[in-house]
Amino acid sequence: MPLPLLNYIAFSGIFILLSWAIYLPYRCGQLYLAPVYSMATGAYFAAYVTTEWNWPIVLAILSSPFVGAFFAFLPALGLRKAPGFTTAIASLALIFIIQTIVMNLKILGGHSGMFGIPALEYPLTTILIVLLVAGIIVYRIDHSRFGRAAELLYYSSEETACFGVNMALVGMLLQVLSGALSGIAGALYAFTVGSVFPGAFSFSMLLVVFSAVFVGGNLTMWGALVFAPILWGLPLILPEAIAEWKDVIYGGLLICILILRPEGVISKETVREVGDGIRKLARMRRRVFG
Amino acid sequence: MLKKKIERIFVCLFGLLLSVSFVIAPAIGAEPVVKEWKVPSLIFLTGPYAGFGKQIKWGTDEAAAEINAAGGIAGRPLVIEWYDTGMDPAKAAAEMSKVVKSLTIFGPVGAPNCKGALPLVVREKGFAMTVDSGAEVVSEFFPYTIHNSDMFERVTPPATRGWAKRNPQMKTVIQFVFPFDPTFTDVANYQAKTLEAQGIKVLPNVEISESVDLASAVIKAMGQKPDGFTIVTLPMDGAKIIKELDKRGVKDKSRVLTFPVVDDQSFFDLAKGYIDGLYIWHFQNVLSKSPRWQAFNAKWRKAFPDSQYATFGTVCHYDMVYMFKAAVEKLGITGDPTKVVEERNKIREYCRNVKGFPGLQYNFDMVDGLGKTPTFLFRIENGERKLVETYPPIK
Amino acid sequence: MDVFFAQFINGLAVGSMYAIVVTGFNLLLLVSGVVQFAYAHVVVIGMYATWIALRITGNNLIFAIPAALLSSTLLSILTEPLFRPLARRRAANQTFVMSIGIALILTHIMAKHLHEGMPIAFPESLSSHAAAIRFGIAALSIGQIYTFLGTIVAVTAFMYLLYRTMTGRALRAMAQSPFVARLIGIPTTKMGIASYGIAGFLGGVTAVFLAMALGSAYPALGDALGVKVIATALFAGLGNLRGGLICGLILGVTEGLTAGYLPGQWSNAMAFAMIMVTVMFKPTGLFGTRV
Repeated sequence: MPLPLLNYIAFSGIFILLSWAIYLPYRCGQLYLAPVYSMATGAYFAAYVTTEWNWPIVLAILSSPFVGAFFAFLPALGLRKAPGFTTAIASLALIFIIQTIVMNLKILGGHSGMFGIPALEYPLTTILIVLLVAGIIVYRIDHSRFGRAAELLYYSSEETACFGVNMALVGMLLQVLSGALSGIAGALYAFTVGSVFPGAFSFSMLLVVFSAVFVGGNLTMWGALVFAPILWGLPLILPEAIAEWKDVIYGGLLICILILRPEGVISKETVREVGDGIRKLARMRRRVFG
Repeated sequence: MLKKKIERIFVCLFGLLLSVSFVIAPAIGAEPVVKEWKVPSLIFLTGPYAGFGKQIKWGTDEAAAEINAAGGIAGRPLVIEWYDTGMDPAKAAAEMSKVVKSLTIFGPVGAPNCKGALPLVVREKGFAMTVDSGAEVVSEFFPYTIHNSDMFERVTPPATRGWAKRNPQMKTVIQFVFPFDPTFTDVANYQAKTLEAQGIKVLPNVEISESVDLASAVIKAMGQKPDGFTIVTLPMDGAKIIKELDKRGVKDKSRVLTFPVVDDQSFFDLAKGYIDGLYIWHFQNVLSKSPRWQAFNAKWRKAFPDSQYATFGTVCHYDMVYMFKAAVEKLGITGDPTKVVEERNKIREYCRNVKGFPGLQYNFDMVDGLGKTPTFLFRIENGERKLVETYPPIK
Repeated sequence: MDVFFAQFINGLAVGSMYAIVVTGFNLLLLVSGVVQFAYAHVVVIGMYATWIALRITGNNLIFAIPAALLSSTLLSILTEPLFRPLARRRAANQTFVMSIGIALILTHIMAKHLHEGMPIAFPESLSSHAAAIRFGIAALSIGQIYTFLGTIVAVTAFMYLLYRTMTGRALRAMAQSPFVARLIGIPTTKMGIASYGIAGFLGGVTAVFLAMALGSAYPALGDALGVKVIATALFAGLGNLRGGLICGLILGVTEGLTAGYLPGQWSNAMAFAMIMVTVMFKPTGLFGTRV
């Protein structure tokens, strides 16, 4: 498989995971920007255990979601009930804080960061398996009691509380899951690039991810899945003269979508229509072939 | 009705953009044509430093144009393919993955991009000419890359000593340091060690924050009543610091030393009128009488009328292109795609150890991938830059 | 002790810059329910407009101020139709995301098309960095003094506008309930556009003050200020004008003191941590949201 394609798939996978990490808390209306913070913890964890303690890569990947989840759990204690917009700024603070902390820890390489991180042996397989498992988990959450409760919270928190929904619990669960997804995204980042340093985990990481969720579809998980690879891949494929305008393109897309179709390109109706279409095809096939 | 129309136009435009990209995609990974030297070059053309990237790109393109006007490299034209990395390690890694198997790569530039893209070069045993991103950062990825100046550990002491000697009354010094880039912290450490060896007490560094106003850092520094100050920051921050020092009573700027990164047109624009007496050290001698440099700088002023001197990054990249030309011609490189690994290794070894390479301002040797370049100490006197002392390269 | 005093004075000067930008931001938030992250970018473009006017007219200050006012007011009014559909639905989250899109475009324009993305410097006649007042190492330039006084005047003027005039009452009515405001005959669309215009005008004034106080501008300044502005507004309580003024000053002083007594890397993290902890315990902000 050609190297650019492999790199593209790896980063698409990482951005899909991060997009789901933003999507989950947004289900209950919280604009949660801390995935970069959890990603940094997962990446540094994976880098450290494979270079200093010689852990096998598989073990590092399997443990990174727990690291990310733990680090998301701590601030979630205070942020789980925060109104949607407040979470944005509070989680922004976490990005500053984690950058400063890793910069000052000599065992994590300080300013220079860590390099010489081993590469994935079977990158394509690993990424696809991680995406599949993560996707199934996100799907199950979406279609469970929690998912429905989160959806109600999105529309109104007071009325939802009347139904006996524990907002704190829902918020906590979604943020911790978000942390887990970001943690594993971080580990994959470390193994794909081969080095981690404090400056790698900054706001620019959020740009593609944000656009994927809000342009792609913020009320279903499929929006991020389809649009993260498109929005990441477009500047890589377009000729330089156009790719230089990528900030304007992202900005313009966000503005247009919010005015024309605020639920994103892939809305719940789209998913339902696609689902119906597939069911119809399956029925026709059964009728034809018996 | 109007909304549906707009929606439809939007979808069509998006679809067009998508289809255009699919048409262009197959072009990536196409075999290099042996009739030309196609060299990929990675630089930041977007993002907050895009202006600096554009200057470096100009220098590289200028070298290529000159070479092609004089007949090309071994009779074939040089075509540079530009890839934008922004200041984004992920993007740098992605662009590098497209070109890592090339004969030679120009760039990437900037510590974040190097950290993102160079591990791949090491894994694939490629060759990236990252001539100006901080020797300490780049040397982590040796031997698969080179750097046109020596480790800061070696080149910092002479100029620092020169400054200390010219300020014999200095007993204590404090340093302003930009803490978000490892190179800056390293230079500050080396300056500190040198000064302490001269018997000068170096107070703990004042790290500047990413803030719109740096007066708090200056107040913190001045509160400790140092005799001298060094500035190890970005040019714009350096200018703010100088103005704050002046505002709070530091009128004699010979007590202040700035390091190479600060020496940029943007620093002079922002700090105009506040820098008389200031000492500056650098790897490049903008006052060089070399005719090549004078001619080059004349072209630079036409392209960038607001800027007095070409930047060191531009000069390094100009030299880089000529070094590539020298390697190809001296080694008889054919550019044959089937021999790319063998020829790349030859070019790499040549560039890592070429002796007496004719740079734009002076000749220099490459030793194990590092350029052994002289350093220069300047002083601003009556608004004009004067060369105070030259220090030979450290063997 | 004089170090502490100097840091404090400087903190107030920096804080007043945040406070004056927050005032315009809060106005848009109050009246239209719009979280305009790009408001800071509109102000910075005003600074660029000032610089361009000065360059074209040979540093003639008479043209600098109208240039800033005109560009900021126009730019702000131009964003109104973009926000209108979202403001109608009162979707605060979405206005924030939209404003990020606008900020991206404005930063791109500054980084690619205005002075090659290099920082711009204002002439000494506008932004002298000489100390107008100085005690030991504490010093304030004339620009900083103007900004500080200007902030107090601006906030007072706005509070007067909102609480003592009919226009202000109409704007507050729109903030409480656009539906009822329309019912009682307030021309909500015209008032909405007017509020963008007023915020833009204040943005132009802010641009001139910032040019005087900072002496320079650069493309990333929009993002740097924008983040501080939103954080200050949340810290104080969304829409609270008086709270915004006080919290802007608190933020400036906190940043100064943390940079003064802790390593510089920590100052941003500490300032945001303080805000994060506050909103965790009091989500409506220190002074509460207020119409």
